[in-house]
Amino acid sequence: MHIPDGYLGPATYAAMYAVTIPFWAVASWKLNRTLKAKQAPYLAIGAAFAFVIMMFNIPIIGGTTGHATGATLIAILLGPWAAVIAVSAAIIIQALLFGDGGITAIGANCFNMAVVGALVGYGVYRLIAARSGVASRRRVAAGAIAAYVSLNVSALLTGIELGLQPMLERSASGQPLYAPYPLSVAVPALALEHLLLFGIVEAAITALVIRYIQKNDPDMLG
Amino acid sequence: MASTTFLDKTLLAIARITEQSLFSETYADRRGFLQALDIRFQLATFLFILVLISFLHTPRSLWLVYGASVLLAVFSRIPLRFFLMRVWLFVPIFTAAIILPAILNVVTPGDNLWVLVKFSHPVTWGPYRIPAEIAVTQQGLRAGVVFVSRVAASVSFAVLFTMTRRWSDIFAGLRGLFVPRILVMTLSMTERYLFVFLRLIQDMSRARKSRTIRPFSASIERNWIASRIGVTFRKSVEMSEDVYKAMLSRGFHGEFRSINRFDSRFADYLWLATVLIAGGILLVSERGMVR
Repeated sequence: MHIPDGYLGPATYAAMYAVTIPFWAVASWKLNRTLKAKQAPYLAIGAAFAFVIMMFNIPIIGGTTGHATGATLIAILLGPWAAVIAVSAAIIIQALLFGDGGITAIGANCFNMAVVGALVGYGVYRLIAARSGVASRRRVAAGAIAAYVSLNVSALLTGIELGLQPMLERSASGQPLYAPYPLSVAVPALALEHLLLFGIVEAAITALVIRYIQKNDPDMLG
Repeated sequence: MASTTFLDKTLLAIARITEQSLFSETYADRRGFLQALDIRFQLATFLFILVLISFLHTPRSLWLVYGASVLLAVFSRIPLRFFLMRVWLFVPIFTAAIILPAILNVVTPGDNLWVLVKFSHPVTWGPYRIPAEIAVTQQGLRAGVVFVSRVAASVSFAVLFTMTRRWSDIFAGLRGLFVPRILVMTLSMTERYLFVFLRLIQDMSRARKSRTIRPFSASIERNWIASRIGVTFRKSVEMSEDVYKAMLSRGFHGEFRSINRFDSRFADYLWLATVLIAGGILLVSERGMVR
């Protein structure tokens, strides 16, 4: 889901930076009040954790494997605003140091995966978990549904951003200049694979990790 | 019954990251053109070039910029074959593969160049229309070439940047470009602790693989992975507490100070001026404002 450089036109990537920066500002302000001097080590280690979650491959069917992005899981474990910064830091490091995802697309990638992934995931989790006990099965189901929904909303937004390119950015002779597929192709292409496969993997990992933490470190879900 | 493929893939992903880190250290220490620049100037000019690439519309301009990246790689003493492989093996070839359907009239209508398939009649289904003749169009081909050229030029500069600077220098450069200190500090610490966690996961995966005589069911393996993610999280929370206490014991009060001193020379200003002027000329000439 990491959008590389060259896929989004200047109008879109500039707009995505403009949309994402206020979320970073609010997250920083909130964390500054709660964590104070502790925030740098706390967020850095949270970001490193966000990065390495993607390293864990899990067996799916046959010999195939998949991995989770972990935005919802991190939001459940660290809180939504810490997750926004931690996942954003992981995305920025991936783009700057590993060339995974574009530098011009950092705003869009952070919005899709960090802001939406964390806030939508956390919102759905709190809504379903309501006041259920830390050890309840409802929490596990809430985590799974939240992860599934948030990943699919992230994929939908990515599809919309890519699908808008042929409408927004064309040459004088009418050819697309950036991602060439219209909304009718880009949105189903991204939505289907996340609805049918990646969303299920994300939901399964989130649910299993919550169940493990319920058994071994229930305080962390408090 | 699951195989241990998932463990192999995890170990391979970790090995790739470690390899990238080692390569970046190796080439960043060479005495080349880009390595000699003040990191702030390199960071600012590379960001300018990436934005410039996004504004260019013709393959000619994009390949000119791409050519500049190859020249810079040579002057920065990066082995050319290695550089070209790093650039082309990943994003541009992947992009070329996904762009293929877009050069057809199904996605990009226009003047047919080569007819590939003929049907008896066109088919329309909701927003989708398959014409009676499926063909490569001139407009589709041109859009595809522009798209792949843009991605190749962008990736080339992004790869060149990561190969010519130490990661610690990149963070120092961000600080020099007025990026908030708390963000730079967080990114810098993230990079350091990332390798601690990668080592942890590597050890867990290797230990598991070395103990495996007969693989368990996929369900048991998934539970094991979930438990390792849980353990990694618990360790990360413990580590953040320990690191914070260690910082406090060294006199940290929430203010971040940097020991980096930047040293800009005439050559850095000359490089900056060259990039800005060349970029400006390229953009203006492409838009037909200079005849």
